Amino acid sequence: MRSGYTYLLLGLIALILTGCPPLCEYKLIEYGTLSDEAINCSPYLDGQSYSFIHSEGQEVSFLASRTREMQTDYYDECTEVRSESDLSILTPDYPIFSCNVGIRKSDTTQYSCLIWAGGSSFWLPFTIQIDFGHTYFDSIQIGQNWYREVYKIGNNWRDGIPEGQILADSIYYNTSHGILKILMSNREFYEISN
Amino acid sequence: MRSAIKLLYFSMGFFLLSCGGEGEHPLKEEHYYLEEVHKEWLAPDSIGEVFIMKDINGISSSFRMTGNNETFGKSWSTFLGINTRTSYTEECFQSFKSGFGMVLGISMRANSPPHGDHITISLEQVDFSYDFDFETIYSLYTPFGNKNLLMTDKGYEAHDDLEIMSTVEILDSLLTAYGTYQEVLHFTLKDFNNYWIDFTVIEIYLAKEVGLVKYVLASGISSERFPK
Repeated sequence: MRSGYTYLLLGLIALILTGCPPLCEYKLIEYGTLSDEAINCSPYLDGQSYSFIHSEGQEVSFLASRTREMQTDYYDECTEVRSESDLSILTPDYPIFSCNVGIRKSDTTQYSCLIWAGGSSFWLPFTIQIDFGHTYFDSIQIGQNWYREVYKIGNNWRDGIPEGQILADSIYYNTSHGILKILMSNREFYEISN
Repeated sequence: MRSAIKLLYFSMGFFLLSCGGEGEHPLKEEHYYLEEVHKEWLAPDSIGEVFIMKDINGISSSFRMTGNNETFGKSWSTFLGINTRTSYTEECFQSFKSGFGMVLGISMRANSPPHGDHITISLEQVDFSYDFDFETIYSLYTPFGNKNLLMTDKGYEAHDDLEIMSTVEILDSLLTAYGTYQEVLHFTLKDFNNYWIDFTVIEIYLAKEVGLVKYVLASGISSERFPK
């Protein structure tokens, strides 16, 4: 009697298994580690403070934390992609937004750098094909100082910033100082202070 | 024979339990509606609409309405599998998100007597519920701890001596740098003071038929509603 139940159970298991999709072949794609060139896109140092002045005069200091790690993403149910990422988080000492600069290998040869600030995001244009509009300056004055090799980068909102909202419209950035200026959609701005 | 009786009891119990619930024909049906005068505390905005807050140092931020729902929450009680009472309670929920990532929630719920309509306001994880009839804050949730009063037939009682020190007062008017508002609910956080950080919201002002008009942080920085 007991063996009868065993056969029945085995039969049910076999039936269930035949209903499952065939097991796919596991694939691991390694994008590898970030190059020095990629890492140097973000100048932020862990534990260091960076100051900005708001257009109305309030100084805001951001404390940087920087981490670098290998990340695994699932491309599909059978494919894993491993790539290195580097994330700088700037936390303000004043109740406004934080800023992030994230660098990541986007395939085996290229990398991308995405900046989040003031509720908007921005692709650093020379790191990726997607470009929402940028202007390059050999040198430009921001606040009291002149800066070299500066990109003014437009935000990634496809249909523009939602009406009435105060979000970051564009940023000025170079790889030696990071974010130099954040221009908000209501014309307020935050400028780097030295 | 004994096991057959046990099986019968078990089946009956299971039947009764499974029948208890959302019956279509309750013996008694009740509806609780929010008083119109209390609904005026809700913001008159629609989803996607934006209002601006400006702080004492001239830094502006926008709050966008992300949710605005009105529903009738259904609850029921049963006895021996028979739905004895079904009640429908009017509830309203509003949510807003700022460009700086702050989250504001305003919700209201009707209540069965003797308890009155209540409003729950949350801003940056400081969340309180206020009963209009008893003029009492009966629950407070913060990142530093929670306090809840016990709801009884006679009102609210603090249990475990956990009294809520925070207060709500209804102001006749409030004058800000950018306008004057009539009938303003003013919440002041007075609990968990030892744990506050600079960014803790310690005061909230909500004006009738307007919405959030002012808030103050523990650092002393305040933000006020800026006209469109």
